[in-house]
Amino acid sequence: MNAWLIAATVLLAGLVPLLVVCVRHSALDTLVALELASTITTLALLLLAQGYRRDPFFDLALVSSVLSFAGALTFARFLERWV
Amino acid sequence: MRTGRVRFWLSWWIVLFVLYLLLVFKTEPAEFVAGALAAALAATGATLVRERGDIRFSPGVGWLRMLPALAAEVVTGTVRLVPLVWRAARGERIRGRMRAIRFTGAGATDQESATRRALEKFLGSVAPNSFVVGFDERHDVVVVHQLEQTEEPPRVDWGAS
Amino acid sequence: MRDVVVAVLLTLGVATALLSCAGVLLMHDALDRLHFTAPASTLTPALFAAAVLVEEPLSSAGVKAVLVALVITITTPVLTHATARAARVRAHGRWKVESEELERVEDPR
Repeated sequence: MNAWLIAATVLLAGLVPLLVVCVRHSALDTLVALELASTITTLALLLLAQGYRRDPFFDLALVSSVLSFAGALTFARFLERWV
Repeated sequence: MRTGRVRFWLSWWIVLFVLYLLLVFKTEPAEFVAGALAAALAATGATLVRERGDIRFSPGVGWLRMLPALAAEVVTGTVRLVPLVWRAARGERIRGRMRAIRFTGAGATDQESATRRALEKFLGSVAPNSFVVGFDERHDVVVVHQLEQTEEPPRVDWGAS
Repeated sequence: MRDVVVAVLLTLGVATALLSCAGVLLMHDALDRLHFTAPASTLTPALFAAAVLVEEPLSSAGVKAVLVALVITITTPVLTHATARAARVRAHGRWKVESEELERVEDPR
């Protein structure tokens, strides 16, 4: 166990309040929580990559950051009018 | 026109080639060839999109001068969120509100105005305390949502520093 | 010394991210919650990338950490604006300025 893995674990605990928001509130509140959760998980991947000294995990974090953006933007556009 | 197109393609190729090498972090000949080909493909795509003429985005280097002020606003804005979270945890209802601020050229269709609006939408939404909701062309106004009310309106013209 | 600096950067980054999560939970409105996505997508990635660079300067890990931080920092304001706009259009049927907002138009700084 090193500082990076401890930081990743504590960071992932931050997903719990976001899950509460997703379950209890409206679609738009859920979207906001989802956007933040995507950022949190991307950053956790970054910390895990450094903690385990695995270079491919950095590529995972990079791909996750790009795809999270695309996914959340799609949701925002759909929630604007069609859902 | 042709020189401009070549210069544009070359600029993109250099940036993308360097990005590829940074991502693979190797200096083998095969990686150089792969990077050069991938960058050429992407640069060609960017040039073809630009040739359509739909989008013209050329902010100029002067916009970079606002970066230190923006970074400072991000840090101070985040620090200001701490007492807000504390007050909300104690049961107080924190409410943000919309503010309409005069913005000349909110409806103009020339390239410079469109670039300015796109950049202001982006830069006005970076710091925590406020974000841009939209521009109203008819009234030359930008609508911003602000969480903690400040006496002065939130900054909306980052290019005019 | 280097380990101390890395620990401080990681602690600040995690604290900022948890502040964002707490804010999203405690606010009552989607637009108010949206403000709290900013710290976790600007400060936190910068702090984590700085920590990676302190531990491993001039490595592929450092470069990729900076790239991840840049992607998150650049894409989140776009998402924030898109979500705010979606909330507005969803509430009013279309994007428009409200008459009471026009009555209180302010001059820029």
